[in-house]
Amino acid sequence: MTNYVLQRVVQALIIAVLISVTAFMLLFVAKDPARALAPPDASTAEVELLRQRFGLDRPLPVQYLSWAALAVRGDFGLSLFSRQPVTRILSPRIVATFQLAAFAILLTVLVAVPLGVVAALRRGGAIDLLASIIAVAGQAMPIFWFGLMLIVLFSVNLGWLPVSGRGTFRHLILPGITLAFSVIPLTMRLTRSAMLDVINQDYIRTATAKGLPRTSVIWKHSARNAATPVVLALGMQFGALLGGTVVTETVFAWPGIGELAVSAVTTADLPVVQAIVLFAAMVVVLSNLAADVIVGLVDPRVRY
Amino acid sequence: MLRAWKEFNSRSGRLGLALFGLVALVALLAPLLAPSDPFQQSIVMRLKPPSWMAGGHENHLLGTDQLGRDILSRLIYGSRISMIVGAAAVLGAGLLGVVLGLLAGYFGGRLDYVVSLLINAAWSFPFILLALIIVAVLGASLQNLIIALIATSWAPFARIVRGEVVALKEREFVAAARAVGSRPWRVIGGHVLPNVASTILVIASIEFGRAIIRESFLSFLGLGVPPSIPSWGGMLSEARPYIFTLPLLITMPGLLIFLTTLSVNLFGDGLRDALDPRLRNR
Repeated sequence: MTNYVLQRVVQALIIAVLISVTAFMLLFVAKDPARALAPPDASTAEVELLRQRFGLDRPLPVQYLSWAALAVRGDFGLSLFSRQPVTRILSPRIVATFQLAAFAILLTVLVAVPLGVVAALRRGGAIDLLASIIAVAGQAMPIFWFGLMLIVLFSVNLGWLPVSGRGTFRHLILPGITLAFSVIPLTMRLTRSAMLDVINQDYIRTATAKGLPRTSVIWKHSARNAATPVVLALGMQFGALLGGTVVTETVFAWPGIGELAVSAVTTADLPVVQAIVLFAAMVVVLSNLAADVIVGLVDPRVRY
Repeated sequence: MLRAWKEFNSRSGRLGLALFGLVALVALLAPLLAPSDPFQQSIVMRLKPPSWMAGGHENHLLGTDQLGRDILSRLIYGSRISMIVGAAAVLGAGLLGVVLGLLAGYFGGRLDYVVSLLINAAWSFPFILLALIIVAVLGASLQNLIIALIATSWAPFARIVRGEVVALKEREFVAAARAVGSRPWRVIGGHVLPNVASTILVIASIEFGRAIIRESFLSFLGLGVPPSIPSWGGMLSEARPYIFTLPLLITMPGLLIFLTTLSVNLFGDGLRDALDPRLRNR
């Protein structure tokens, strides 16, 4: 087990470094950050002065290392635009995104798992049909448009919920549903097929033959064994969920990391973009790692 | 493949193919089908509702946008961008992913380690953020948009092809081909590739849909297709300020993105079932 975890941790670390280097290089190669920093009418000499002051004239590997050394201590420097520490800009955003994501995950688990289980148990029934319609439609649905349609229906036509922003619980509902919808179809599909795999196993037939109550067979013997791929899938979908927050937060003006990412990218606010990229990569890598380890703990067959 | 085509009998798969063919045809024949010039602006004709509603104009079946341009014509021309972007992204990503997957799976070793690491890295990073950064860095143009889409969709091809090749390598017919001294490229081209072709086609159908959706979101943010070219995502972006007054403006382009993606996904599902009947109903 220790070996298995260690192997995963090393792999996760390599990937994290790889992603941070790529993101760092990409931004430096294409746009001149000193030029972006300067006012549009600045002379070449003034731009050079800025370049020196911010250390942008040093070799790229040196810049990367000095940036990374500070970054691991949580220091990402100052935003090029607001001149505030990036960490101070980021932390309230992270809280907002976490709130949205937690609500969306809750919705996903509440909707996708029961639907998937019932769809598998009553294969070919009405719930199964509904589940497959949701799965097919969900895969083809542009999430940002889905969010816009929710606004049209619930905010514009019915006037029940606020159009955008963050504040009360009512503000959370539409973005939460939108974000959840980006991961519900796949989660449900995986739950269903995992459940189907399990209920066709011999030990389930044995449990039924023994005369165990149906609820016990389903929840104790089947669902528990089907949980492994579902947990793994939820962990693997963190990337999709983070991508979903970019879309959702933009549509609903939710002041989180995703919305910040879009504005920082469009204004070329380098330190902010780098911090977000690293943060996103770390969240994804850690959640994948966590899913791997949890599955390793629950299911001894995956350890190797 | 031929046998698979004969088994391609699912109703939804055929419906998907028909719908997709229709969109492709519309894209191809856009200049003939569009009732008016999609670029023609008119100050007096701004934000007209569809012709059957009060205040509509008979020349503009689905109404006009904020610059007085004909919505129907712009929707018809917009299909071209979706088709071009989808096809280019899938061709580019497919080529890159399949080549990497074939090489990694067949030769293994250090090459495999590096490719697998790249796949995992690409997999663990939010696609949209990566595409966003690429487009922001290179600038918003059709070409850069396609580059961003290729960069975000090669990994599924590479991962699945690699897995299939690793499994295939152990099969007798591949071992036999190697034993008689066939060169690697011959074994790959003649024995391995034909056996993964159907899988590649299925991934391509899924990625085509994803590329269309991603393109529309980037265009919605103003980071995709330049606003001068009519695109469904761009139309959504332009319609956004009018969500209270003319919600129909924001409904139609999205519906077309949804239906086009749905058609190609249904086709892919039907194809997958025909190629591998064991996967049916899963």
